[in-house]
Amino acid sequence: MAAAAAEATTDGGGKMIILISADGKRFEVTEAVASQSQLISNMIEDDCTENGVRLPNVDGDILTMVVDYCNMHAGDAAAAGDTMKASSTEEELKKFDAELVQALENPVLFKLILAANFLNIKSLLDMTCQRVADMMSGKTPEQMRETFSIENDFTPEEEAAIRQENAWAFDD
Amino acid sequence: MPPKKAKPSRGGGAAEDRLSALPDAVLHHVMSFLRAWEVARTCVLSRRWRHLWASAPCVDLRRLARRRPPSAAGAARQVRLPVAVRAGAPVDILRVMSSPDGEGEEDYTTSDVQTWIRAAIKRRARVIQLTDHPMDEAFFNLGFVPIISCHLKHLKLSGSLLWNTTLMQLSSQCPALEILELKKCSLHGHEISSTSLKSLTMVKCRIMADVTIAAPNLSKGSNPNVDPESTPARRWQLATGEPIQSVHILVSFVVHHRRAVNRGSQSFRRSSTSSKQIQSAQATSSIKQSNPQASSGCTNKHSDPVLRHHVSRSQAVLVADLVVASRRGSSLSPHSHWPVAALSSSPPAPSSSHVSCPAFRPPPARVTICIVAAQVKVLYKDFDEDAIDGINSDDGEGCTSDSDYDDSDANTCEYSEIADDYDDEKQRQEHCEGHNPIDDYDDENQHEEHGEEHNQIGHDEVLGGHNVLHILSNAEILELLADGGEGFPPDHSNVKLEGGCREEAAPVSSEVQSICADHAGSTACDASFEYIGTKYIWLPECENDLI
Repeated sequence: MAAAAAEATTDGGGKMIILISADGKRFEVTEAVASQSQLISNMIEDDCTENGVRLPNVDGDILTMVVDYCNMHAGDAAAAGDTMKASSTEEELKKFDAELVQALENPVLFKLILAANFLNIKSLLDMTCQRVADMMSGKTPEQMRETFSIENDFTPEEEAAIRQENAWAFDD
Repeated sequence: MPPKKAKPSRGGGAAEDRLSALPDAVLHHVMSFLRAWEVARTCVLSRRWRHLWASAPCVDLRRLARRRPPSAAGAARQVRLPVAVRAGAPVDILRVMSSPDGEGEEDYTTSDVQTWIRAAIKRRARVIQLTDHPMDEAFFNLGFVPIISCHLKHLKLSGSLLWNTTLMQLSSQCPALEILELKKCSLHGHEISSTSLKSLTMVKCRIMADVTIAAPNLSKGSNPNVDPESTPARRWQLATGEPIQSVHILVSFVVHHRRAVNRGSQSFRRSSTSSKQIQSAQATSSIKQSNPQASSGCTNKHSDPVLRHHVSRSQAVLVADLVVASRRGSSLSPHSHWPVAALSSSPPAPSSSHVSCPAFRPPPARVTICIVAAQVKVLYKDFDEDAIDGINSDDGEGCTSDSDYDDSDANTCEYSEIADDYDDEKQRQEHCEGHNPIDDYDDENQHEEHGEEHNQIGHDEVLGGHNVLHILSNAEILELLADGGEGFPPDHSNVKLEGGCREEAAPVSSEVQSICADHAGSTACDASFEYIGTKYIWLPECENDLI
């Protein structure tokens, strides 16, 4: 069933596009999947995807995640016409997204953000940035520094002065 | 200043600071999900972050007060800074709450909010969202904030008081305004007229005067990011994703019979009882599906209720959440008499065309008004001045605790409320039917004169939804979408909607279709309005029970 659907998409959806990661891994995806990336969508429009799209900023393992994400969400878009399918996919999608983003460890999360930013996939960028924001929310600066390994390069005097300057944000 | 990369932490297995290494734009994006004070706190993280927050394009000041214990007295002054302190940095998005938490010490006042909005407009804000405080029922007076901007594109107001000046400003001095969302606002103006406006959403607004909406470019909601779990508001935005010109107005009408109630005039009594009733309108908005295809897919008879008629036609979606204040008794009921004026089919006299909706009537197109979640709720309360002035939340919105209607599900509680009250009301009704001579004005012959009376009231009194509901009399097609299950008492889960017509019906013949969404397992919903002069609609089952 799923395979048949995929085939149908392949037949109907036309062209396949090859994405090549920084470390040379190749991913074959449909145009519909790839064009969720605004970057690639623009390239498709400009007809310069013939020999595969090289993505020198994106590692293979990150690109795997991105492609997974796009496959998942392209399925949603395709199924939107079919109402029953759409509603079931919706929940799956939410679950998928939640699991994806929760599972991310710090280094991978930031790589994924950079990839989403580079490829210009808004929903993925929103999702990952939201995750970072959640990690920052409700924390004191000290806790933020600890969470993200941010090195405090202020002198204590400087820091005190800056806190004073923006005191409204600090008084809990 | 180019971002200075944080040095990788020395040894010790400490991880690299990848967050600080992100480009400014991405960090700003992260900041857009945080509240203003959380963003501002990042200034002490490191030198990389020192000034980053101040140029963040999104300033979110919502719930500023709530997080803050009322201990810090000095904070009150400082908190006024957040927008001002950003010295000239443009603000792209401002999100702000209209009033501080009512409890304890107030960190900021409504005049601060006004200052922030002014500052944001001055800094070329593209999006301004004003959220009302769910606990605070007073309206935020926008009269003192001139909304004049050639950058403002998206304005969302909740719990605001809009005077004519504001509406005029929105109409003529915001040439870029494309999206206007009003929730629980009180409109005291006469016209919203804008050529740039593409999307207009009104939810639970009190329309206190005749309003004309003239927006020829209202069109399909160009919102590609439709939340799959969205509420009707979003759903209907989704519904517009068709090449049709459509107007989506989600309206709550509060129909105040001020004069009648005040004076206890007979005309009111007559009108409220002689009218045929909309007893139906307990339909719920909780159509389970998230897109129009879905919601239509589950109807029994009509395969494509929303879109079937209007390829290339104009469509108005009117989500009527009707609240009628009257003075009898003390219970809520959806099955009560509906003043004929409200849905009077008698059109305004040509000379007094106090409601005109050019946007709804492009010359060759047919107008479709689609009532989703039509809900009639009559408050049998003693006359309540507060309710009129909008201070009192007695109109059933008390359970609306969310501040963002996008994820509002307030209707649900209202429906259950109604369901709870249903039995009481039924008894009361039965009682009344037995011996209430005054109420027995249910004489069809009197409709005409009463219709006139009400028109008259409409001219010299503040009558809210009355005038807007005249839109209904311009309708050629009236579609009712109802959800058969939710909110109905168990024994009424099998809902039928029927329509009736009257001789002196609408000037334009109306075709009414009612579509009941098939609610999980409930059968039937076999609704068929053949014709209605927008005169009355009733639920036969309810009527049988009542009379």
